[in-house]
Amino acid sequence: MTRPAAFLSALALLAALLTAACTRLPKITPPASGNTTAPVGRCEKVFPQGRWQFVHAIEATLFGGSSVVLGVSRISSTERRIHSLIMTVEGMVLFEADRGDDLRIRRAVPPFASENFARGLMDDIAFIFFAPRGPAVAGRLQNGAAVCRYCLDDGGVVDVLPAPADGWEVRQYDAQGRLARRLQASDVAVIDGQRIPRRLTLEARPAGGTPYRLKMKLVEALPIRP
Amino acid sequence: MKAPFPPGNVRRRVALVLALAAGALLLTGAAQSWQQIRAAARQITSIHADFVQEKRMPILARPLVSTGTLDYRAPDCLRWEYRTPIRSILLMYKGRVQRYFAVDGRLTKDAGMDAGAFNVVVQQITQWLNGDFDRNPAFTARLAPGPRIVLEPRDEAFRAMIRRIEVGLSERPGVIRSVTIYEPGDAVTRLEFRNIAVNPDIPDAVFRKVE
Repeated sequence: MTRPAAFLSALALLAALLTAACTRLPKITPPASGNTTAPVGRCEKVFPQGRWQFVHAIEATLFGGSSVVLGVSRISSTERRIHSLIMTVEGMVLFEADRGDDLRIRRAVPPFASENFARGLMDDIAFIFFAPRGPAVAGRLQNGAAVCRYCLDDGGVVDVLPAPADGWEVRQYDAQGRLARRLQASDVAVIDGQRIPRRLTLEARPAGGTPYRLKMKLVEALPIRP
Repeated sequence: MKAPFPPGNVRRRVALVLALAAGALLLTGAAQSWQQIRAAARQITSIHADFVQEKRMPILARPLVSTGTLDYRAPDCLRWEYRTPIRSILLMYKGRVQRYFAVDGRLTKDAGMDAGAFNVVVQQITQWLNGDFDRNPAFTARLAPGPRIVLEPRDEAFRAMIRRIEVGLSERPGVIRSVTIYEPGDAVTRLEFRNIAVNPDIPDAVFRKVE
């Protein structure tokens, strides 16, 4: 077997293994080219690169009712660091925390004053802004949509669908193949050469927890220079 | 000492700050004493103002600026409306409180609002309408050069959110310049009031209808 052929065979095997490992997930088929890794770069471009500060108006829906807060997320994609702030429209700070290697809650008032809340929030922010970590293959769903599938260390899977239309979608499945998070990004603006969505909708179904939905409208996106 | 409201209730504290800002507008400038403030406050029955709110924090690369309008009519009607960056409207009409917001242009009733919290607003506004800053159980108050009023929370739990509030008085009677709220962690929220109308005729609809 020639080296390119062996390489492609190895990629196909990897794709088969990833798909087989996620039997409850939607099936994906390899792209016509047979190259399952080259298109992954396109998927990773949906996530902001470098350091950014985002301000969003966040409409949170829980138990059928809605409320609104302002969220500030300062992120570094290379260090995978997050500094998060939640405040009322009136400017009162309800929650502030950062996460690099460890989680540090700087300020929190009830009902935001819990480590579980802080971890969940940081996981949501990482899901929205950071490319998943883990081996990935590209393919197509049964409806023909392009997809990149990442297998995570914890047995979960993230599918990134870089739809050609004005936006993209990211889905996270847990180790049991259950859809745990779904992000829809739309109304994309180009800011500092990167595609930044003005609208985000995150639906989360935490295991054993209450499902919630966050609708986020971009107020400001600032690249942070060193 | 018993706290003026249960500690831990964020919305009550937010409501209290809103009440403070609204009530502060009723002050008369260049006051030299609480007695003068009380005397001037009795002359004012309604207020309309635009405001610019600027939030500064170490995390923010640049200040977060909000704008809106405020309408107040004694004794218990308030409309506190943010127009940017997000539309949010607090309506209080004869003690009945509602709050709406619009993220996608459509006004939605805020399910998270604690109506009980705004009973605090009514009580506080009534108190401040009478210029009774120095008789407020939630804050200690002192007059300072500027002229300004400096308020500090008595409640330990409240101090975890707000260190002090400074009300900047204008030279123009019935008008204040600003309200500045100092929070822990070098966070500062400053409200500047503009285009202030004293004792305008404000119809009921302003306080009852969001549109």
